[in-house]
Amino acid sequence: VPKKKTRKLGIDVVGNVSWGTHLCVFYHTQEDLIDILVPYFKAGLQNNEFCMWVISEPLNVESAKRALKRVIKNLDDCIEKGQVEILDYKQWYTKSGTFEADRVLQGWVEKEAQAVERGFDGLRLAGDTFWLEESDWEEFADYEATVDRLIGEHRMIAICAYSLDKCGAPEIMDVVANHQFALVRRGGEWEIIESAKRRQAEEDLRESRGRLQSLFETMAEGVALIAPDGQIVQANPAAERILGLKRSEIEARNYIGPEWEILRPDGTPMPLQEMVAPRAMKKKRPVKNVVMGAKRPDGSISWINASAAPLIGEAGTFGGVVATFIDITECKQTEEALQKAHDELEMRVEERTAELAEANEQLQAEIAERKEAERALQASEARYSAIVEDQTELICRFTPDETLTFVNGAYCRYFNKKREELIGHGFMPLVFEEDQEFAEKQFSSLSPENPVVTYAHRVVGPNGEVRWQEWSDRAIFDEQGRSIEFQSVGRDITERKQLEEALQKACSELEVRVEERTTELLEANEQLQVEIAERERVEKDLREVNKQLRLLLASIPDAVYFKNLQGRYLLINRAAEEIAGLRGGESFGKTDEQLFPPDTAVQFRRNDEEAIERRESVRFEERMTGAKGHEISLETIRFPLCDSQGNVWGVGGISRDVTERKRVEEALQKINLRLESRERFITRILESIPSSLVVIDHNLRIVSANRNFLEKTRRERQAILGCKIDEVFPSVLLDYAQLDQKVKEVLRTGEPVEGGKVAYRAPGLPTRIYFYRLVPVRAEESEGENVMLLMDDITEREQLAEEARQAERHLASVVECANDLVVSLDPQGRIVTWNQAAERTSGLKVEEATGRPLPALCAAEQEPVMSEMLQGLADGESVQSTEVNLLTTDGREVPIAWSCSPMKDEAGNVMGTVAVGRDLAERRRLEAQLIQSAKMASLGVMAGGIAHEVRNPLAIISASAQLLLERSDDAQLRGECARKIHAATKRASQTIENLLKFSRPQRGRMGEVDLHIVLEDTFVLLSHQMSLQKVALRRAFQPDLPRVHGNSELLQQVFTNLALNACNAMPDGGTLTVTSRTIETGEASSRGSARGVVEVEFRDTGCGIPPENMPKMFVPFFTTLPVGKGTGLGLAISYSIVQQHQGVIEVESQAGQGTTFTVRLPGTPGGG
Amino acid sequence: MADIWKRLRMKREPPRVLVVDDEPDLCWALENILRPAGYAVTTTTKGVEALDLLAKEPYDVAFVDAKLTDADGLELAALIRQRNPHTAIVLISGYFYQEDTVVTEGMLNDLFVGFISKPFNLEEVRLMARRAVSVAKEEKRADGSHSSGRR
Repeated sequence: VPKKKTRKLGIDVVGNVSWGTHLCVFYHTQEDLIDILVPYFKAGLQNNEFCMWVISEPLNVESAKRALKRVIKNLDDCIEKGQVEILDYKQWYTKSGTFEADRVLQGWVEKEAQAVERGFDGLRLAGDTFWLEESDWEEFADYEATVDRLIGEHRMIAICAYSLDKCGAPEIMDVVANHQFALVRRGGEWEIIESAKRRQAEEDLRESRGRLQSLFETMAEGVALIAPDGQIVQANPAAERILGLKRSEIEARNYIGPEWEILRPDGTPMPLQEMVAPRAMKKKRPVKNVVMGAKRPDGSISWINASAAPLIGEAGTFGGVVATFIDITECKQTEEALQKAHDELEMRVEERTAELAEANEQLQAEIAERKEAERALQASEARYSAIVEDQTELICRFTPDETLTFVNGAYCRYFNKKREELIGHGFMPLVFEEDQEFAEKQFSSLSPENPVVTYAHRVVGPNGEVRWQEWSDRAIFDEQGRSIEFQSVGRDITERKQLEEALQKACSELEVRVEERTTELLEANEQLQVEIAERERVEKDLREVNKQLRLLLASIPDAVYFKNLQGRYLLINRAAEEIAGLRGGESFGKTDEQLFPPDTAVQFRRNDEEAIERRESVRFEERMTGAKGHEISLETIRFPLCDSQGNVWGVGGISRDVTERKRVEEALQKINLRLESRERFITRILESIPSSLVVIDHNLRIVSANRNFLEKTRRERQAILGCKIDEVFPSVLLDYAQLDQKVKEVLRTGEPVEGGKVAYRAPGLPTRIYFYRLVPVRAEESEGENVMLLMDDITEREQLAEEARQAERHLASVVECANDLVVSLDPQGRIVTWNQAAERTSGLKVEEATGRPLPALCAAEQEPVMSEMLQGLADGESVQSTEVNLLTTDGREVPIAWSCSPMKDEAGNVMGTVAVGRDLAERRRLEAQLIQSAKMASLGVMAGGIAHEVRNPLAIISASAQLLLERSDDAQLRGECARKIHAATKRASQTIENLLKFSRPQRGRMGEVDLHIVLEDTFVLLSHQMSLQKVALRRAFQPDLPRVHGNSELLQQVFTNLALNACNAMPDGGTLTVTSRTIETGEASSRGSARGVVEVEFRDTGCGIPPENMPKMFVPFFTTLPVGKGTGLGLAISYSIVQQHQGVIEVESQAGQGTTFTVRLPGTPGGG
Repeated sequence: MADIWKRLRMKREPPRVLVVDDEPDLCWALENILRPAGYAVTTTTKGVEALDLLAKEPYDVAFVDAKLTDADGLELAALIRQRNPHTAIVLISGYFYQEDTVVTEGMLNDLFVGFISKPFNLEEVRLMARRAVSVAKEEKRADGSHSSGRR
């Protein structure tokens, strides 16, 4: 993106800008907005930019077009070639019904891409935010921040327009922070506010603040800035107006200063912990919309809706609190007036209630008069109770579609059906046809506010007879308030109904008789006619009322009772006696203490007193012990009984036995709790597993997604639920994976599908690789099958696998290219791998070597050594080394130094052996050269001795020859001379032969060697050198010394070096003692019989070795001799030769006492 | 007159030569070269024996081998020069050569009057013997005329 290229903005106060500029403008009026945006779009259209205007009220598409057309003459052309798009905000921001930041952002980017594709330079856009609701602010502010972050990388210029009327101070701060510039257009004047975040210099910051300040000055909302220390730093004129204080007075105060008088909405003083600013200060979080009153200096109270927010600086520093508040005094006053009206209304209702109570009292009086009728009714009550006694309550549960999900035994017995015949079926067929609609209406009407209904209806019994039942239904609701189930408790009331009907009939007959009697009386006494008629009417009405009341009292299953203030029972119905286990009439005039156990009595009296105290009906849950000693739960309403003057004269109560219902409810609750906890458990598992899970329904919509998925894709749960998968996953991925087809396949077959690897890149994140699977899941029965998409993030695994493959390739190439032989063997010692070096050295190709035992490829006499070692490794020994010659295809033997180690699996079992071999031929060659040059060097050291040894015989020969010439006449002398010549020649020749032997390069054959012979040969060669240096030789040889396996020439080299070294250590002469002996090592070798070790010791009486030189003794070219006298190679080569013979060489020395070199070599088995 | 006699008698006495060499065959060869030329030759293979002989009788010349089994020839020469200043020494060796620093330094220090390297010519030996005798005589005379001569 050519960022640097400037674009004409069209707004003079800003000038030219570059791509990626993001501005906001604040406007007051529609004209202000048009003044800003029309020149802005004009500049865009003239400069080949694609322009997009998303409008909101008060503009519409037509008025926007008109406004543009006034300035841009060829607007129609522009529209025709698709350079301009004017949209309503509903078609853009809230296209899906709500504002979704991601979708809108994506939309802009797509528009930009389309614009560039179609040959435009880029995208110029403007969006109005007038539609924005307060609740959307936070998300929109986040969106703006994202736009501001991303726009720099795009060919876009964006203006976001905000109405000043809809913005409070905090919103303006948000907006300004998220834009490069904020422009304020007010009354035809421009003001620029540049984002504080983008300003570096402090001056600029101050200037910007100044401009903000001017904005604050004009706001209707009161604003006060509070420093972290609590001092009020700044307040605006609105604050002055609302608080009735001058700015200087406000700014002189501390925000929790004693001068403030802040009230709660009820007029009491407001404590500090309820005020907004202290809360925001303390918690460093915004506190919103708290209503409080502020006392003004003139004594009046300003009611305000206050909010406060902490000021957090760029570096996260806390900069105090900004408190904002709106004057709501008028609202508050209106509210108070309403309250007053309401109170008056209530008073009137109370008066009315009192009147009604009075009427009730009169009724009571009439009841007393009618004792006679009451007694008759009591008899019928007793009959009814006896019938009810035998009934047990029916309990069932059913779903809103009337399917039974539970029935109790009584229910089954009642309908003479088995439980299986009922559960899962509708109960309506059991209900009498004419009552079905009525029953349905009853339980359907239940709501969370009113969850219980009691009603009676007819049912068809098992023998086809019609019976009455009374049911109490309780609805259970889900979170949305929809009823999901009903629990119902019912009883047979057929007998009661019949009784009621019979009574009704009896009463009617009575009526008729009374009528007849009246007629007779009328006839008899016309004088009393009017009076009687009057009395008759009253009597009839009262009887009717009384009858209903009695009937009601007697027949309702609830206990009803009245007591006077002393707690004596005045009235108690049959149901109450039943529940309490009292005999009929026994309770009249008695108290709770006399009738019930103490704790029950205390409970009842306490509840009575509460109802009396509160002068209203109160609901209680009570417990008591029944007649049979079982616990009874009661649902009781106690209410005060008042006379016409409103004085309380007693207390009444209605109780319902809810024991069974309680029990059922508790059991149900337990089941529900268990179900819920199981569901929570499953949800928790889903949320915590490290795979992404998405459940998709048959419409390819997302039903649910777990947290892992949301985190990986950076999405909100709400944003994706219900979305189609193509709105969530990139289309490329869907096309590639054919996810939709696979989902359908899983739905069709019900079989899981192993997907495969897909790369998925969530916005703003690096690409990750997933392995996905589709698994069918049975959803709720009603919803059918769903498909779960499982996505395992295998990015790291893939990377690891790639690294492992690389390492493997690397390793393989190292093995193949190694100069050493690398051979791996199975546990039986057969060759598995054979590298190039092994091929080169042996001449055997991989295919020829594979499968053959390695020992079979070794020199015949060393085969057991290799076999033994491999066996040792198989038996658990660790790394083993040996030198074994390898046979080549052309019949040579190549010396190889083998280092073998076991290959173990993770459990430590030996899986085979790795043998690494080094071809020693080259090393041997170099060693031999080194030894040879060292030999030559030691010859130089011996030059004096050699000269002496050769020149002496030469001198004898020469002198004898001359004497022969001079005195040929002397026969005796002649003979002598000839003999001397002969002897001296022989001697010289012997010397030369020794030298030749020594200097000739070694032949490198190993064999059994007698060390004494080697030592003697050495001494012969060195005798003259030793005599020259006055070194006396002492031998301390052990007879029958075992032979050793070795190279005699190399060993002679070692002994020569040690002897010469001893001579050099004794410049003034001394004694060299050479000792040979056998030592038993004691420890038996793992391979073969115990072998002795042969030791040869060279002890001199020389100067000794200083301790600091000891470590350097065997280092090549280390010498204490003057240049030309020693090479410094002797001991180093000796060391190497002894090692080659699997021996050791050691040195021990004491300064001034002499030095001892010891060579230990393994003896040959049974040698000696 | 007595001096003349004395001188005549001395003239008749052959110069005395001591040969020190650890090779008996070389001792044999030198004796057979020098005796016929008029020298009285005594031989020994040991340094110690040589010093004993020198302590008993005066010798005009000592032929000393540079390397002996029991002594270093150069050290022996130094001892002889110290004890018998009138005996001229000739170093004989197969170990050194004519221009060897040991040889030239020994000559400069008056340790020995000549050096013969092995193998040698007979005439070379006789010439060296004659020169040594004359040097010895010269020194003896110088010592005689100056009572305290070189030691």
